[in-house]
Amino acid sequence: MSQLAAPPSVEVSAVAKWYGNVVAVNDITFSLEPGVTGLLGPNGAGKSTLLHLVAGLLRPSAGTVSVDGRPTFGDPAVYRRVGLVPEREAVFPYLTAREFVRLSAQLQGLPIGTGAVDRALGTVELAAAADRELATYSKGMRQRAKVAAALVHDPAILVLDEPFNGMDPRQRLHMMSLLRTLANEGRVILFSSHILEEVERVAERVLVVVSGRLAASGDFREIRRLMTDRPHSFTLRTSDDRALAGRLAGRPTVSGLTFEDGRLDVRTADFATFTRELPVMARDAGVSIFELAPADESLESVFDYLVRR
Amino acid sequence: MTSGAPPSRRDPVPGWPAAAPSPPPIPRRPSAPVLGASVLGPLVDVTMRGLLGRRRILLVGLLALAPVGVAAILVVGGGLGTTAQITRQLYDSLVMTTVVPLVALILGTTAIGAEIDDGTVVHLLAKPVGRGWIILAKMLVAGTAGVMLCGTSILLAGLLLVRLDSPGLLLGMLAGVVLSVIAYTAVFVTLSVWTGRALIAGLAYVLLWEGLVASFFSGTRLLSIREYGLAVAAGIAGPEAGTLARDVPLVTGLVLAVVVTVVAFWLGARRLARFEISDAG
Repeated sequence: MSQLAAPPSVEVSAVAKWYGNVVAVNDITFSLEPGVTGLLGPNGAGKSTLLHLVAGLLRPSAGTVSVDGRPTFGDPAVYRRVGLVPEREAVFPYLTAREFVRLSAQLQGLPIGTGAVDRALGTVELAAAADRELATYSKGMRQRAKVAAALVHDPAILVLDEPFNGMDPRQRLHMMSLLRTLANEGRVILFSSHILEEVERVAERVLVVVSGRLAASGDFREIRRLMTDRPHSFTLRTSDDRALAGRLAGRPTVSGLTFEDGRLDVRTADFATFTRELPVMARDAGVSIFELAPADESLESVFDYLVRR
Repeated sequence: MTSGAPPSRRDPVPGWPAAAPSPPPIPRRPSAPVLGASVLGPLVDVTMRGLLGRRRILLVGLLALAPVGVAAILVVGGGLGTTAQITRQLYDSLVMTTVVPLVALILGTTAIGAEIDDGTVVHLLAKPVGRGWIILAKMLVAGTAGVMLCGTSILLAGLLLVRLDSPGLLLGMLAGVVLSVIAYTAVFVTLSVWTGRALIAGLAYVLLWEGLVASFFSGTRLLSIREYGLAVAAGIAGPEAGTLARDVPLVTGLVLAVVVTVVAFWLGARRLARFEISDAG
């Protein structure tokens, strides 16, 4: 029987988690509804900690995490509703995928012979390899075996920590469409990733976590726009830096200019207009552009901007 | 204060924020549908395969069989006093001081400690399973493996040395081994749930506490699993106990071993119920 008769709810309220002096997660509040929510952030931002808090494997230092109104930590009954796919690759290497998923079914109290094990293995396209030991599996296959084990009891809430790690492009696409399908069935799906494109492809809502704090949350398009509209810096190498700088200095889109050591640094508040204007101005000034490189395109700087905003 | 009524504690103090409303009560959860005895089989199964699948089980087997090797050498070499006396010495100074505690230490810490170390324990914990059943399965598997290995070893070594001439001694030694293996493995399984350094803590207990302190101060013997085992062995061996005889009576040793095992189980289950998986990343 499907669990989806009762709509699932996940509430995270003013949650913090610290280890001694180290704050891993700081005052985070959100709630989840059916659909895919992506948890985006750089490595070490606290994504794993947050997912473990949601999954009841960590005790909040402050605040509450509840599923269907009940605190998750210290309550094994929550796992009737929640399926967890942990990030660590560790599986029991001496079990076959079928045995691993069957163990999960047994520990969920599912009666033997309902076909749940085969169904879960089929969902992740592992039916053909199901009788091989997990030790012989590739990273992506292990990942799918873990997903099958987490899905076997048809949970209303699925929590996945970096589910696309180690997957080849085809497996990645399959996993993405699987998550979409599961979400369309009314499930709450929460997954973490440090890769913007992955989140963009699958999630309809995004939580951006940086340095343990919730930097942004909401509709993906909104966050995408914030990321595009932020101030950008470029480094230019040209045939005549001084001439181009003179032209650029008068433009309203340019908010800062420095040039030294044969390098021109430009800051702009309007990314789109600047990238349209630059080639025109270079042509008008008779300047050749040898190199144009974004100076701060690392994901960290994007996140950093979102935090300071 | 000139106003008539004395200020009540509930009156807001000027300049201070009003007292925060008391937090809403934590909703009481309905009786939790957590699985019970039905999961013991699968848990025992996966634990057993994990134990047998690790290479260190070979090391444990070799360690457990060491007394048989020593006994064989003694039989071939011969001429070292009466065989019953040699058997007692072997039992007291090798089996009960080294082999049994170390075998139990490796089995007990492997049963769950290794799963905590490599992260696979999450696949057991993220399930609606009563935590006591997980601990029980670990203790059952580690205890049974230890009893089978050490029990076989002491029976073979004893038969080599005394043949069937001292059945009481054989039976006593076997009982002592079985009892102490069970108590040790229970303690070491629980130790693995309480600390990531269970192997070191367990070694410290066996070598420092039981090896040194308890052998110097007779008062601490009541806090030594080894002494419980020896008390039971001596009690059952009766007149054949000889130098194994203890001032701790059989019943006391038996009861204390059972108490230690039960308390270890309770502490282990309790700890696992509040266990946190940090999965740094």
